[in-house]
Amino acid sequence: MKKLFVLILLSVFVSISYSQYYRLSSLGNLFIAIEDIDNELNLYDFGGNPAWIVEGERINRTWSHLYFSSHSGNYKRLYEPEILNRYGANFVRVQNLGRSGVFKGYATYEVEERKNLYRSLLLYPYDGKAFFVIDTTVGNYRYAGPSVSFDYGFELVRNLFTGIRLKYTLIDGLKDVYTSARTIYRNIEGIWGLAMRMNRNLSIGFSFEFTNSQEKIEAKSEDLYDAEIYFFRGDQYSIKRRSNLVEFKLNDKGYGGYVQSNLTFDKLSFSIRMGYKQIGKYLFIPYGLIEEYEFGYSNFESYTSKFMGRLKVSKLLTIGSFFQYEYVNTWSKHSERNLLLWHGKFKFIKGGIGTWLKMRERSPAVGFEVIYRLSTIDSLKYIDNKFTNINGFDYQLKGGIEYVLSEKITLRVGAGYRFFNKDILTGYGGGSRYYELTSGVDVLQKYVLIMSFWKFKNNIFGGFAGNDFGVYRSRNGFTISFVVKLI
Amino acid sequence: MAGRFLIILSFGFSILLLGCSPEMPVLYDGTGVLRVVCLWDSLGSKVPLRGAKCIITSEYGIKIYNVDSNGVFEVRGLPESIYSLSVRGVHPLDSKILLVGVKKDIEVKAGKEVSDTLIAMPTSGFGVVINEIYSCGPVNNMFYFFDQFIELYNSSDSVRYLDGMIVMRVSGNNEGLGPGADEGNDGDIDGVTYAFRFPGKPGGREYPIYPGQFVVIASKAMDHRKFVSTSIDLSNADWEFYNQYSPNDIDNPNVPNLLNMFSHRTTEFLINLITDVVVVATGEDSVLTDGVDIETIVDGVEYQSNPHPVSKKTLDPKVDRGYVLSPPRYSGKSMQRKSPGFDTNDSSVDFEVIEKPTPKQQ
Repeated sequence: MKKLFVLILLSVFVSISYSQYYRLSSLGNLFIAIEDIDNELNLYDFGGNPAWIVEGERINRTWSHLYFSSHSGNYKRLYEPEILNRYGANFVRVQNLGRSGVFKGYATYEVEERKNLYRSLLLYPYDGKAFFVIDTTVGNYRYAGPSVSFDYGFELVRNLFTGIRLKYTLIDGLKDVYTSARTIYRNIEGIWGLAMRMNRNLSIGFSFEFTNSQEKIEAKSEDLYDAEIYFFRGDQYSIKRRSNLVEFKLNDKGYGGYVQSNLTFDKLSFSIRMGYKQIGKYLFIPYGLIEEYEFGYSNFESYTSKFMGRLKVSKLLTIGSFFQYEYVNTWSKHSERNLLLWHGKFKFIKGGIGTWLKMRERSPAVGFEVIYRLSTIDSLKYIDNKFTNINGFDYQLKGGIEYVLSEKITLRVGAGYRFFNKDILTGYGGGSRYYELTSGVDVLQKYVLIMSFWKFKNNIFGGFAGNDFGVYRSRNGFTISFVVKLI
Repeated sequence: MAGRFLIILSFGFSILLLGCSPEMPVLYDGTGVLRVVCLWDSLGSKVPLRGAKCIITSEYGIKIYNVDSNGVFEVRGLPESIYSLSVRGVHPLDSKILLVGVKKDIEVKAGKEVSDTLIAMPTSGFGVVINEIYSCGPVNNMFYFFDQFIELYNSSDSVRYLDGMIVMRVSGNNEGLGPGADEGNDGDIDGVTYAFRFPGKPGGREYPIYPGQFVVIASKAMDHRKFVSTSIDLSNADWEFYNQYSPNDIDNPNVPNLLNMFSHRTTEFLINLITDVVVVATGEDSVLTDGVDIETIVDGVEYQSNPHPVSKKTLDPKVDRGYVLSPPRYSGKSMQRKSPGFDTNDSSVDFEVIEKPTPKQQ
């Protein structure tokens, strides 16, 4: 128990964390057929159930991870920055505690710079609520803060496991020009899980999760000017608030429940995860000394189910398939009058197949994946009299090669291509394309360098962006990561 | 056994979670309809007000629409709110005469159509009005706001006289209904904190203001650009507020003065940068300690920094039914009537914020 406490403290004070999927990210983000320590078809990796950590994480390990990523361009939405830089450091520690269970701690410190951001003051302006809050200037925002988390699980009674995951995030943001808005964001997430090994082949699990976050924003007058803030309901109608100090806060509260199952035969393994999640998002504006006015509320309900299966045909060949269905029902209301502002229904059906193949024992391994997704959006924005129905599709082709040059050096490269007939996030139609190149070098199985470059582009427009016909839009990005496996 | 427990637990939680989601509202915002027939009174018969502009004001700001050839305007898809309307047209025979109509507190409900009729009246016959209030100070970072002024305008077609008239700042009565409210409903407004008087007596004929003339009363009649480059020159103001009880107030000898009526007020005449009430009265009621009689008030304007419900209107509606949304502190902006002397007794629709003060002109 003492050991566990020390580990929790360690993960809190060492402000670095989380370096999972480093191998997959250098292989073009393959995930269907490829086997990896962090991509197993079990209740922990696939199902997200911390109770199964006892079975899913058997090896003690400690990694640290430094990264820098940047992207820029005009392929973006109105309240997204022209340039986005992110850099940080992660740390992850897995400790097997024997009969006391398994502990995994993460810590992260990340800095995010949003440059040339048009007026928006919210940390997540496009999280699906029908509210925007803006001031009057284009400026740069800098968010920074730590995030600490741990998973702990143990065997409760024979073949019955339980575990928890707790995550705490704190972000401090500041805008560099008038209205010099300051953001304090904190988020607590937790998962409690139960898992059961029914027999040698079958395991099932259940997890319950909650999330609670608060984003508090203060916009102050600079020099002698008042802060002038606009609270939008929808895209057109806003209420102006002007004062020496304008403050408001957003509260999110959510709950979810998931069931997971894994069925494994000799060469065949299936996993399934199904669940429901509900999140309520509130926007409060204080008035008077202690009272608050609920400006709006948004509700999200999502039903998710995903399935993945892998067949190990031979020692050198694995094939896999993946299927996901997601339905999100969201609505926002004018709280005081209890009127519906926006109702959106989103449906995503995604399926894919993949292979992971080696011709001979010592030859490079090659992976390939094809993923197809159908998206349906039914958006009824009553407040703006804007009603949209989009049926879109996109497909992805991914490939990756892993070559073990020697015992000391492993090389990895990957590539990805994605085509959207309509990008449902930005609303840009007419065929958006995404290209990605990734690479990685693993030296002494201890030091890993990963680089990736990507590009979004679109030059024929339609969709709701209407007036953008003939405009070429693109967004380019890159990420450089360095991982050190300490143990 | 444990497996069965797990399955029952999963289902139990799922049912519990599904029941947690709140109810979605059944009425939609943005579905209100407002239909107004705009008429004006022409020799006893009501005639459609063609080609007029209709200004709609609500918590969501101001929007302007055109009235069609039948004197009708219709707006669909309005969010639920309380709206004020003002319609402005030009008299078909005399372009100098404005036809103005105002309607307040029209509640547009979601999914409902509101129909109303608005009768516009000619507005050329008003007398002296407050035409511009510049209170917020110039663009600066040294808290300079001494270049304030109040501009009067004679919108009538005859000469009026300023003799004995009083210009007041009304910012007291905060323990009661607020500055400018008719406390006790006794026919006067309360909360006068500063009162400065033109020379002469009410009814006198020494200080005329001619039809269409602007009169600027400066807080300090000097060239303020010497102190703050973004400020204005008020050295040629028509009048100056001068507090004879203040040891520090500087007098420009070339500009005639309005003098302080309250000997206990020993500071110079200044008004709040973003929230205040300014009232002009004939001076027939000169005992102001119990308030100023509404009958003697020539004009009054309230300005505030935030709309309802954040700020509360306090000036009695018999004096003015609305308030001006003031510009930010130290923005160098000013509040002015939309056209000289345009007065519907509702400052919310009569005034607009302009980029720079325009003393002695529109």
